[in-house]
Amino acid sequence: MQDNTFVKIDDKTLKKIDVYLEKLYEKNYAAGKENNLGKLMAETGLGSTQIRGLEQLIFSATRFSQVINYIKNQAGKEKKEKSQWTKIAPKLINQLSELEQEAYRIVQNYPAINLFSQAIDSVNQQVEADQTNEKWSKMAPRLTKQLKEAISLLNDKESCDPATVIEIKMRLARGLIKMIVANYYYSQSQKSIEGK
Amino acid sequence: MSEIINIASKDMQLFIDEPLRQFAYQAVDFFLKENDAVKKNQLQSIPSVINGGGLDALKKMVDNQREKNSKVSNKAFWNFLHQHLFASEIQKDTDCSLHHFLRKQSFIQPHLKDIATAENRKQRSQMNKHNKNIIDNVMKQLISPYFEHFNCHYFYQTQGAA
Repeated sequence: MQDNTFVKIDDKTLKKIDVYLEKLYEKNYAAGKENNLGKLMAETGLGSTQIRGLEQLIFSATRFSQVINYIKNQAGKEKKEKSQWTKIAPKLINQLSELEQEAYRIVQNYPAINLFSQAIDSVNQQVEADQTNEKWSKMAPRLTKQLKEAISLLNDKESCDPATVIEIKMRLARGLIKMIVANYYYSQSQKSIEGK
Repeated sequence: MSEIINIASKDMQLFIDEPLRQFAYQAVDFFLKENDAVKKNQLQSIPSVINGGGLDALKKMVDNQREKNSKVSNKAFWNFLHQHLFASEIQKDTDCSLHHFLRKQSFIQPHLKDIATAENRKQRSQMNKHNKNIIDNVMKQLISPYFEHFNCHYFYQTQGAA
């Protein structure tokens, strides 16, 4: 079912992905952060087999939904008294959903959207300042309309290249899971040091 | 001969990843809101039946389960699936039907014929047949990932239950 076409991501987009993952690390995974899921996984007693399963899946998955479905499946099949994935799943799904939104923000060209918005403001200011200029007053509504159309095209999810969206989502997800796995093993080692 | 829409493209992968997933989740939530949850084992055989015989095998299974099940909650579940997946064959599409959902998609619509332009009954019937073939063909290709979404969300929403 999967298309084998190789998706090339340009350097600028790769940089945006890295910058976002850095911010995510600062927000959730730097020392002492509450939303550190790697630490939470270690605290709930989730075994390393489970972590390896998640790690393997993230590198073999071709769709983002395979990752979310895997987590839902793990939580769904867990026995009530165990309550490990049950605790982790809502938070992990939440963080993954944020990545899904971010993928569109990365694909959609925000600097261009801002630039077009500024151009609309400039047109309006010019019309206000020079109301006697008939040519300008006639042209301004047409120009504003075209600029607004350009913004709506840039904002439209359907105008994004699907292959690029999937690739960015997967790269973001891999980045997140790598952070979680590293934090899990670090927390495990801390636990064993404290236990000695 | 109807056209075949190839779902192997990246466009379709994104469709499977997002709108189809959301629709499957909504269907599960709708069922659980209106009915008692059934045991997980009722759903567990669905993927293997699809892998073995596709949509036709699933239809046979759903029909068989509707007839043989005596437990009210199980019967309600299989009746729901029947309406949800095969409603167009028996009555007008409902909002909750997968057929109706697919019909609205932008990648399918250009392939469908506009019934309103039919000049006579015979032509209308041919157009209906053409449209049904198109949707059925897409459904055959999507049914496996659809139930991946459906089952995982169902299990998640009924956590802790048997």
